[in-house]
Amino acid sequence: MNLPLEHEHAVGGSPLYQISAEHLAAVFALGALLAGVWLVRRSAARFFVPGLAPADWLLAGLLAGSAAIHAGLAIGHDEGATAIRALFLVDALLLAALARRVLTGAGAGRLGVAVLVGSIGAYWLSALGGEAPDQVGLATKLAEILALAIVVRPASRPGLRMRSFAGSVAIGLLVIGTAATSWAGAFRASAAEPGAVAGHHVHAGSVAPPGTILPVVPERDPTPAERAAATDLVTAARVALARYADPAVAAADGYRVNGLAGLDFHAGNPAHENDDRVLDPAHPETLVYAVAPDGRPVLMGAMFMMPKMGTPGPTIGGPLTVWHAHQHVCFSLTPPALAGLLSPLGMCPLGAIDVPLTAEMIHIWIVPGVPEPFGDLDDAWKRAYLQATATRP
Amino acid sequence: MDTRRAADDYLDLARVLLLLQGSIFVATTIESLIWGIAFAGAAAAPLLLSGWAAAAILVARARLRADRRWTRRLVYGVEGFTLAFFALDLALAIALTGTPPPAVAVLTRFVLPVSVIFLVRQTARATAPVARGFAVEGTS
Repeated sequence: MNLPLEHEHAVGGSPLYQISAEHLAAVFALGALLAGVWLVRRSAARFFVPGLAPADWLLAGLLAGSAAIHAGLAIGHDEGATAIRALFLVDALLLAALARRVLTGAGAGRLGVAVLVGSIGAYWLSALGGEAPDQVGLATKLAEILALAIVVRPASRPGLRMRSFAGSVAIGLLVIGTAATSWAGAFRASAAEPGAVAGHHVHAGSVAPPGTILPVVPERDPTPAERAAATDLVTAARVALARYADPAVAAADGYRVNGLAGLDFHAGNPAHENDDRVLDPAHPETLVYAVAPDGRPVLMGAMFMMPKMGTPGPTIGGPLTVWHAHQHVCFSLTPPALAGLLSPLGMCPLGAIDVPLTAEMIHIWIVPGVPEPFGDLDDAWKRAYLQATATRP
Repeated sequence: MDTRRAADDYLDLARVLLLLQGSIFVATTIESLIWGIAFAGAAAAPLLLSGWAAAAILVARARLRADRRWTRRLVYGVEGFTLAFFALDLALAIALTGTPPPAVAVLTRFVLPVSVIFLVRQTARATAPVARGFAVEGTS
């Protein structure tokens, strides 16, 4: 019997590209600030220095926006996290005081540099500690880096040229550091429950790695019928795919094996992507090869894709055969090839487009002794297997 | 406010935005390099293009003056390229998921380039009457 898994599709994506529920209060706080400024814009104008430069207006806006977001974060976080909430509140007050100073013509000064660097540094520590970054956090840090760039912006006086250069390098390093720590935070948060990722599903409270959408499934054991169906599928795939052990045969059947390299080479077959066959062991959409240390290509398994986006794959093996999709994959147009994942800074490399969502897919590994025939296959296991294959006569 | 001061203020702000944007392109180039190592068969062209864009933006930031037409054109070129790819991504996101790209992508690939173009154009406009005045004086 094929029991439904009751999983909600496309809900288990990485928080890196979303707004966390506990950060929604911060978005509302920013909205409230904007609405408030618009309402009192005329009466409040008399408190400000006339003829403020555009850069200072922007600086004040960025500081006030960041203050509102931090105040919202203090409200939105769990009641239990008192210390974190207090830190958000202190940061909000300092940023608001700085915004007021700028509007009155006093400038942000060294206090501004200290507060902004402290706020960005706290984000880095939080991300490195495994807190999953989200769009609110990333946008706020970019706003704070821009504010800092305004505070330390180059002066035209010749004596200050080295200082200006140092300031510019510092801004560059802050941007690179924010991207790097965000990646680290996103991957660390997803690695907190590695079993979920390896099994290609998300339990309540666990986090998907960046670029992957894993369905949220209830924890249960497969039924005997599901276990049998999964075993039958792997057996059928082993028999049907044996002929593709030779990449030349695969190429003759339309698989793109050119440039075969690495541990996880996916050779797609465009003709099979739109043939409306679903989970047909003899006609996989993609073959997965790895190259052994002696240079021999080894067919590790296959990847099956659904013909349409948003259509859930058949979970014939219950929790053993959970499908996944990918989100925000950068795809180069010059020439067509994979170019990475959408950066935390919102960029794909120039010349690449951001594919926001793919159709669902599932891997079946056909090599003997594989720990799990479905889902992710550990690179260390692949290396050990390939090493053993290479030394075999 | 006199036109010279307005142009200087716009230039000042444009340089700050270009510094942020150039830094983002540098970070993207580094990421692209890492993806190239991680994924066998990853494309090299995006790495080169991102590196070129980072260099172009940072050079333009250093050389940006109201009277430097080629620097302005270099900025317009990179921003135009960024906006064109953002338009493609926006269309793709709406067609495939019914939602726009993530907020940070909208900020860095739409708001930032549009702001830079606006400021550089304002600078050119603010100084145009001055430049024309000099030309008239020179020919009289």
